[in-house]
Amino acid sequence: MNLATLEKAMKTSIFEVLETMFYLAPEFAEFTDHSADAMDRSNALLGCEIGFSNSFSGRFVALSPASFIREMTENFMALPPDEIQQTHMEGIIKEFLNMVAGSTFRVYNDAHVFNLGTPAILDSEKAAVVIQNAVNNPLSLAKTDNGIMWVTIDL
Amino acid sequence: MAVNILIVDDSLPMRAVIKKTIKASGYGAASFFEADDGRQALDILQNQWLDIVVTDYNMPDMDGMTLLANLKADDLLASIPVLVITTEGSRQKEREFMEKGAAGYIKKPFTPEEIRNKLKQILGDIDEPGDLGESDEDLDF
Repeated sequence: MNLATLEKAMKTSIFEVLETMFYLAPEFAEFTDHSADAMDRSNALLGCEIGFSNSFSGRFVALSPASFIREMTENFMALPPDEIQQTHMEGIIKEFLNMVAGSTFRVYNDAHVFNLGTPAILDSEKAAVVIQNAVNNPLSLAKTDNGIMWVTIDL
Repeated sequence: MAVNILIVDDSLPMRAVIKKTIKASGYGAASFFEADDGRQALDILQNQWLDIVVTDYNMPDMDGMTLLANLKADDLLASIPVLVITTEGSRQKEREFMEKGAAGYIKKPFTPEEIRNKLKQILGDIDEPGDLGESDEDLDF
């Protein structure tokens, strides 16, 4: 397993999924020792995870401000803001992470089947712990006007 | 073109988007049926004739591969084309689906054009050509 290649594949996939399905063109912030401090805890956060297994196993974990997911939901489902419910947003972050995981492995090595699990909502505090400990794992910080979404592969 | 389309996906937002994309692809008059997984899809198929089944692969109860196998093993249902739309991107899995009789395979994330082209290939020409690049109302997910 090549971690740098995996991280690059994940970043490519995040951009592709956000652009193709959610009409968002994120910038990617650089991770520094202080990045975790910048996590906007004043904003409600949504966490999500999806496991995988093959020649190596682990899980993708995403943590995002609710405002970011709300924007994705508006764009994806074409719903007026006042009709968006928590269940819609949870469905969106799960679908997002599902697509990112599948696409990452396709970009990384499309000759292998990586058995993906079912995406599930993860308590945001637990997700934050995974993210903060992700120093040695692939990590991407996708940034739009609505905040920064953190995505890592917990190996 | 008035066709009956069954969308099978455990994600409600994804079902909604696929439905909107299909409508915007010239199948505005289609009747849509929805199922959360393969098992629910088979229940619908027992009572309703469908022109095409559009299914995800990875679903909690019965996955898309098992649904496809069940359809192809049933004399009455075997002729219904199955279009797979999935996050599963490996060439091996795609080949497996096609060998088991899938009519098409689209990887998520997808563009509306990919769905339109695949449906046209499977179901034939569309009555209303539509324009995927101009109708904001139709195209907005």
